[in-house]
Amino acid sequence: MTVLKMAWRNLGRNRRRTALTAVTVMVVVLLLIFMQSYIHGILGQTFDLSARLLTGHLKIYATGYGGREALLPTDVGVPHSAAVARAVAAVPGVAAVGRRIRFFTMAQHDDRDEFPVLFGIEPGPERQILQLDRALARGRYFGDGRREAILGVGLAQKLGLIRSPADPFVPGSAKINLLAPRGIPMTFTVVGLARFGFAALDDRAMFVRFTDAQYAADLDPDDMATEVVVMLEDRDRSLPLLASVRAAAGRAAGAGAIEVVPWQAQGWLYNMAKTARAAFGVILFILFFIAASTVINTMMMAVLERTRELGMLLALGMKAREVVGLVLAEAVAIGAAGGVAGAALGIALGLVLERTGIPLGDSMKGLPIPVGDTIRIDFLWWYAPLGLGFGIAMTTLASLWPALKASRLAPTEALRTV
Amino acid sequence: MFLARLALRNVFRNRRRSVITLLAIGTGIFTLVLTMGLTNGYGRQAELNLIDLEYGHLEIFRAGYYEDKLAGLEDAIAAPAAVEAAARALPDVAAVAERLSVASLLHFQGDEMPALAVGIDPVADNQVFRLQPSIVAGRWFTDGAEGLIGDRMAKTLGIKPGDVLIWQARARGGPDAAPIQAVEVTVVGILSTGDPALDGTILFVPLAFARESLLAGPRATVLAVRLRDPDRLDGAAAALAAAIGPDYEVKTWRELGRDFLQLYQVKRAGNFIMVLVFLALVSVGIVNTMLMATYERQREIGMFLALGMARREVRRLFLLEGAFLGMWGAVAGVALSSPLVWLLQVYGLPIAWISGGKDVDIGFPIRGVMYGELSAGLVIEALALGVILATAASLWPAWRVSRLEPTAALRRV
Repeated sequence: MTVLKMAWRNLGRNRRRTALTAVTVMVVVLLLIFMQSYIHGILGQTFDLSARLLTGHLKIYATGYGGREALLPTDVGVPHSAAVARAVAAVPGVAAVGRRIRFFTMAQHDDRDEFPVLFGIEPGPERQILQLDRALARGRYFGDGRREAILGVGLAQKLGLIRSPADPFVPGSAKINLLAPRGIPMTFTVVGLARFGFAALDDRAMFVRFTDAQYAADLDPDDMATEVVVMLEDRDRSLPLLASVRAAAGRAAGAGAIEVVPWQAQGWLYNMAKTARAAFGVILFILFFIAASTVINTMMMAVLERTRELGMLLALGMKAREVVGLVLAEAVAIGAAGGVAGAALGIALGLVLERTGIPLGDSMKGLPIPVGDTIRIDFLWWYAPLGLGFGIAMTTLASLWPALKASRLAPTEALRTV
Repeated sequence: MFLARLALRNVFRNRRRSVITLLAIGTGIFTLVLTMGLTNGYGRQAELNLIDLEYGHLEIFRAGYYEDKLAGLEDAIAAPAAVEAAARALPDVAAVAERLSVASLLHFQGDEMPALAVGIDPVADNQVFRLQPSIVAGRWFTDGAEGLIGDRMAKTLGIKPGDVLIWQARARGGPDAAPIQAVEVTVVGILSTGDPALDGTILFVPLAFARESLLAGPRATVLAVRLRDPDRLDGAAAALAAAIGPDYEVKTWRELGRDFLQLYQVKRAGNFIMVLVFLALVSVGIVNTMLMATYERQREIGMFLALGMARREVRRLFLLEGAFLGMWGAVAGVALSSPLVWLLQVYGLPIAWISGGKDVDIGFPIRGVMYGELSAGLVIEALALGVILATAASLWPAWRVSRLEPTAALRRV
């Protein structure tokens, strides 16, 4: 107890130094909490968007489709897709299932033509998955009419439906001629324009009803879909649920007809995220190093400054162990004070930014993965104790050397120093 | 000089403390040089790709063509020869190449994929762009029904040099008069440029063949210009716009590559802020060290003041000590980091290594290998930042110590 009391008194002896060291620890803890929330936020948001728009949490497609997905072939498909979707939807842990058909097509309006990706989607289930109904910039969602289409804003501009993104647009005022793979020309009425803030969809996607796409690509005889997108209640359960979804889909489609791929195995996003987390580790290490050198410096000063005093304590019979404890207690107190302040600031910043988000404008729209126009940072409560723990541990570790040095003083020598 | 010697000696008086401070500054500067070296490197690489592979320095369109996001052949430049002549007459212009681009669909063995077909002059194009050196298989084309594609597209479609694909696009003349043209094109060469858009989505065909297939007459959708002096970009753009008149518009590669440049600026600013936060932490450490030193040496300073040293000089002494620490720390940081950046500049960092073996398209006109850039500017910036930060961090301790009362200071232990 005496040691703790002495440590506490020592803190007040050089207040400014104590404050500076505490501020260092505070900044480190704050930075740590913020960076974790930021990385967790941006990755989570990108994972969610990417799953909704592109990969699902699990994607079912016909055997052999996987290697050729870049070409969006329509010569293979998931057969009996309605039955597959029903069977998969019944698997516990599955939140939503949407059948999709995607293929490249030629779209024509007046004297302009483009080669967009045609998305055949089911209007009902996709309200939960693609959420196209919430991405509408103009017009309306699919209604009762036949052969309705919703175009990405950029595609509509390329096709001359609007001159600029701000132009008014009347639903049903434009027709698009489609030259589908089976060769039958089809005409669609454009009822809405969509903006996802993601160029791959905004500039290149045309959405129609699943059944229309099925007809256009001649996939209706076996009720085929080119892919069935499965959303889970928890994206981290994609691997445990893989087998049951595969079994359910296999029973409905015929064994061997389909394969199921988790979102982690589609594209490079997940690997990239792993690298980002590793980079975070490196940054953490550098932070540790820089902050620790400040703490070492301070504590070393504190020890050197008090050489005589420590020598006196040793001469009067204080044990080396107790001297180590004294110096460490001082350090832990500084670390705790700075850490608590940093954690408090980190919580405040986290809660504010979680609400407001960090606006990016449209600087991210050209990326091949959807990031969105605002980064919602994601603050988890345990980041605060983690940061605090890191701060205290760092301070303690950095003080070990000065503390050991202090305890090894020879009393007689120490007393002789000025 | 005397002050400098004194400051130097003082730095060595407490070697351990100085070493720890140096380590902190060095780590900060090391991080700065490494992070910014890599960031600047890929920025520069990407800019070169934009100029040499995608846009040239300037591009000329018919007025409205660019804002309308690529219209049909009707909106192309009808008489490019006259515009080209006007451009060539300008002293800034080194070369001009006509190009004819059209949205297309490619078919190969039952697969199809959309692509941009670009008609280029097999000879003139090389004076503006650097495509020919990027051929990795087969050969450059001359004329006729020959095509070049990027290695990414070749891999997607499974095409080798010598294979024949079908190029489908709409010819000029409105929906009724213009049939969809589908012509056979023999792929004679594969390009690997390091630009994902170019390697994955473009079919190059000879300009004359494109004009003939699309019934385009002498039309060109764009004239790409290479300048004699790349730094004269805006001046040259203005002069060119004035020379060719209001029927046409001139865009610089910076305007054309706006999306990427914006993304890059956000990324660069983010990296720089992160490094600055590191350096701010380092500064706190320096303030700490200097403050310690002032306490330790109160008697000594009191003695100086009593012996008649001006307060200004005492201040300067401490600032100099800070500057020395900053300089050596920065030198150490630069010395350790620049070989690494140099290695990154020479050998590069394979992107596949970052992404776990997959070919990544991160929205940058770069793929394959990312290179660092070790520039004199960066080294100077790092050294200056080290010295300035350390000196600035010494300001407060120096000011404090210069205000000591000699008599009071001398009395202290």
